[in-house]
Amino acid sequence: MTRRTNRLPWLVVALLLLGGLIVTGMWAPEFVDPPILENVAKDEYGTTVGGLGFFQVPGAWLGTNEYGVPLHQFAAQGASIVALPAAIAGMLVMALATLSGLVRCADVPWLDTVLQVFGELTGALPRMVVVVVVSLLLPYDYKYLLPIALVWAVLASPAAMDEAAASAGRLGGARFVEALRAHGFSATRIYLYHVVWMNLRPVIVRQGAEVMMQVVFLEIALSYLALASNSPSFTHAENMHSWAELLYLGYSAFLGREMGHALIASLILVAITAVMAQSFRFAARAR
Amino acid sequence: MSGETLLTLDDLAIRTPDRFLVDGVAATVFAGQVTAIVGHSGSGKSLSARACMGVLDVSPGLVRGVLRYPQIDQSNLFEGVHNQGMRAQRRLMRATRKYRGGYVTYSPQSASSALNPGRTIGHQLAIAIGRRESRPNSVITAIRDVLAEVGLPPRASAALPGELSGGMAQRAALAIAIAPQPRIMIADEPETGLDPVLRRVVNELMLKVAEYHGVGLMLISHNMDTVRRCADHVVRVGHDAPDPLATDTPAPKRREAP
Repeated sequence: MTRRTNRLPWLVVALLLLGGLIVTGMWAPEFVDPPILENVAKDEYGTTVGGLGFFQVPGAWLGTNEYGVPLHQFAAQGASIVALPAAIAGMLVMALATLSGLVRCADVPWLDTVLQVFGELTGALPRMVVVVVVSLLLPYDYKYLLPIALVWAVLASPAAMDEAAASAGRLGGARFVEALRAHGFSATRIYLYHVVWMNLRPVIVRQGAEVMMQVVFLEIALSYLALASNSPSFTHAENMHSWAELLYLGYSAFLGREMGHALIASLILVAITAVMAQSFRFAARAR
Repeated sequence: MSGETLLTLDDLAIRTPDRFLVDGVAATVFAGQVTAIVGHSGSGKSLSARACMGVLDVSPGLVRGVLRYPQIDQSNLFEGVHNQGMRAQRRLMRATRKYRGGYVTYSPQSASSALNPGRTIGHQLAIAIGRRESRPNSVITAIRDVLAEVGLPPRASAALPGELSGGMAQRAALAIAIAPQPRIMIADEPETGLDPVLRRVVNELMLKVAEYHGVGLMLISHNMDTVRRCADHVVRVGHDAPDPLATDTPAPKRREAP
C-alpha cells in the first residue's frame, strides 16, 4: 500500500501558470513600444550588436531586442496568441475523451462504433501535413491560431479517446455501471462522479494538458517557420509577436549577437508551458 | 428478527423480443437465512437477482411478476411495469433507487466490478456507511469496525483496489456490501475467480457476517457444494437447473470456518 501523494500543490502550480498565461495574454499591448536606440548594445565603433539584457533597462525586465523594444511585450503578445486557442483545444480533447469513455461504460454499441470509425479515420491522417494545408487554406486576412488549434485537437483526439475508452473498459464498462446502479446511485452520479471524476480524470486531464502544450509548441513552430522564410505568419496578425520571435532573436546569439537573454527568455516560456502541462497531469493523478 | 420475510418475488417473467429469459421464478428472502438461486450459466440467475432490486434493463422486459419488500411496504413494486417497456422499467429503477445500497445491497460477480479502482477502500466504505439509516459518530471508527469484521487490517482503508490480492479484494467488496447495514444482501457468485480454499473462507465469512447482523442473504451460485453447505432455501432457475439435494450424502450445512 503506497503512500498517498498530495496533489494540491501541483493543482495550485498548474492553475497559477494557466491563469498567468491567460491574464498575461489579456493584458498584452496591441502594439509594442516604438524602438528606442538607447536600449541597444553597441560596440566601440557605435555599431548595434544586439539588445540589452535582463533588467538593464528600466521597465524592460526581459531586456530588449536589437532595436530597443522591450521583450516582455513580445512575451505578453505571444501569450495572447496561444492562451485561449490552446485552452480551447485542450478542452475539446477532454470532451471527446470523456464522451468516448462514457460511451464505453454506457454500452451503446452503435455510438461506440461511430467513435471508433471517427478515431480510425482521423488517426490515420498525417497531422502536420493537415495542419499546414489548413493553415494555407485559411483566408489571407484571417490570422488566428484557433482554427489550427482545433484541427490539431481533432487530429490528436483519437489517442485520447482510445485511452479513455480503454480505461473505462478496464473498469468493467457496463458491468461497473451496473454494480454502481445496484448500490443505488443515480445515473448522473455514476457517470459524472464515479466514472469521469474518479476514474477517467487522470487520463482526460493529462491528454487535455498535453494537447494544450502541443498547440503552444505548434504555434511556435509555425511562426518560426514563417520568420525563417520571411513570410507572414499563419497564426497571428503582423502587429503581434509570437514567442517564436524570441526564439528567433535568441538564435542570433549563436552568431555573435548579444541576444542570449532572448534565448533564455524563450526557453523559460517553453519550460513554463511544459511545467504547466506536467502539473495538470500530476494534479489529476488517481492518488 | 430472524425469520422475518424481507423480500418476496413471485412468478417473475422477463423476455426479449425472441424468447423468455426467465419464466415463473419465485423466491423469498428471510432475515438471518440464506436463499440460494441456482441454475446453469445463462439461465437468468443474475437477471432474477437484479429484478429483486428493481433493476431491469431488457426490452421489452418484465411480462409478469410481483416484488414486495414486506418490511417496508406491502405494495407490488412491479405494479404498472408489466409489458410497458423500457420507460416504465427506468421509472421502476428510479423509484427503487432509495432501497438499493440501503435496504438491499449487491455484491457483484467479481470484486473488480464492485470496487472503484480510482478510490481507496476507505473512501468507498465511507460512501457506503453514509447510506446507513443512522450516521455513526465517527466514520473512521465505523470503517475500521467494518474492515475488522471481514478480517482486513485498518491499513487496508488507505489502499486502492488494485493494491489488494484477490482474497482481500473479495473481503473488501463484502465490507462495502455490509457497510450500509442492509436488511438483504445479494451476493452474485462471490467465489468467482477464487481458489478452493479462499472460496470457502469467503463463503463462511459471508455467512457469519450475514447471520451476525440478521441479514437475509440471497446467494447466487452454480457451485452445488456451496449451496448444500450454506443455503436454507433453494430456488432453481431454468428448466434443467441442478438439484443441490440430489446427492447421496446428506447436506453438511454451515460448517465452521477453517
